[in-house]
Amino acid sequence: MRHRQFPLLVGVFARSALWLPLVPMVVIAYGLLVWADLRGSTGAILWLLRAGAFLLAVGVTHVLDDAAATFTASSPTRLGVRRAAPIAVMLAAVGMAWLGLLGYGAGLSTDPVPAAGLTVELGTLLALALVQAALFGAVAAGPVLIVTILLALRMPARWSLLQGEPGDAVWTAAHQRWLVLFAVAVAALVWTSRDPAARRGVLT
Amino acid sequence: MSLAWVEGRRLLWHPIALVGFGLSVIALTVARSADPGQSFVDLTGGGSPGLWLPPAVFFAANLCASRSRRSGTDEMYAAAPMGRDARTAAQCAAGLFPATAALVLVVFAAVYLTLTGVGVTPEPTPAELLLLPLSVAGAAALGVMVARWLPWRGAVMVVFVALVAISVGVNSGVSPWWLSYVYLADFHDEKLTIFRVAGSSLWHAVYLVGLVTMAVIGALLRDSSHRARLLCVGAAVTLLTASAGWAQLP
Repeated sequence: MRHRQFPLLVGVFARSALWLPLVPMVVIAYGLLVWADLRGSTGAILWLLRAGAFLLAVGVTHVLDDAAATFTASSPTRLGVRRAAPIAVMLAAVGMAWLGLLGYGAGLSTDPVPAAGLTVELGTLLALALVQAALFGAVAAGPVLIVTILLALRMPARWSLLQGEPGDAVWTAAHQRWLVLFAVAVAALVWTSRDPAARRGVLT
Repeated sequence: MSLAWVEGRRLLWHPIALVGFGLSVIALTVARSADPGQSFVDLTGGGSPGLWLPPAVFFAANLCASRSRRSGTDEMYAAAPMGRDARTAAQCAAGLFPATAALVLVVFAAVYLTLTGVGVTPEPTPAELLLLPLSVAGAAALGVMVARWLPWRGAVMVVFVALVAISVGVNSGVSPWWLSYVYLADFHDEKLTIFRVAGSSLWHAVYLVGLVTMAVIGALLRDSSHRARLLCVGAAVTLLTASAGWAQLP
């Protein structure tokens, strides 16, 4: 029953999703690449793609907003399933935007674009954004994500997430940390998406 | 006045503002340890409190100003004797609270650095001490203005990101003559360079006062019954701000 409902819910969420934050963020992310193209700053593409990943993550912070949450809380469908549909819709849109950004960036850059590493970064940022939205609410998730990124920029070298050149040992080590962070964030998202009653141990 | 007092305390104790203050203190300490040779304006304006505090206050002020919309109590407030323009004015005035706290932070930093013997070279002028507090007051007014004019979920993030992107995009690699005392990131030649062009700190403080006033007028314009008068004052302030921006040039 639940699996049959899912495609129907996806259509509903696609129509009712809050696109306002995401669409301008996608526009700004593309704008940064256009700006680099106009200025001939092809060496900055890697960092601009990272900025694009951050913007996409900020754009999805409102995906868990649900004006009818009070009413749907009492439905038999679990919280995790209710959240999965809007997240799937938003991730599909983010995925398409990200593919476009990667393609555009690869066309501009003189060096090969490390698509896999950057996609890991995007995935982690998305997971962190969703966890923070689940924990603090959407209005606080954006600022908290900004603080997270600024802290990441100022981490000591041995804990750094953003150092290294694609292919070298520092880059590989940094992306192993990204993967660990991704796993922690996804686990936290799953945990925070458990039914509140189950989390409190009310349900057996 | 009493409403401004309540709003000010609410803004000052907002969790995001508190996090901003905490990170500012930490960043100030770390920056001083990393490079003892930094000037006072470099220390308080660029990589330290200037980076954390105004954005934090911007978001906190926006959340405070939009709380009645988010919690669905606008209709209840509409029946109150005090109008929304008065509440907007109180919320703008509330920005003085974190601005005062920022001033205390800056003065404390200057005194501490002097007393501990490391010194501050050159010694900060009164106008330089005011740069961060004015930025904080402006951030608060801008947060209220965004809450009034763009009452949609996620709009504040879009405005923030757009401001940062425009600042970096427009100013990077060109002479930032209208942004003296502001740190700019230049991504040219595959390097990230942070630089500052110092002009007259006094005129820059006047310029910031103008920007703060413009943001306050922008916020008040949304609900005021004296729009024409406010627009006239706003135009005059804009002219004065542009003049101060010109006068601050090195």
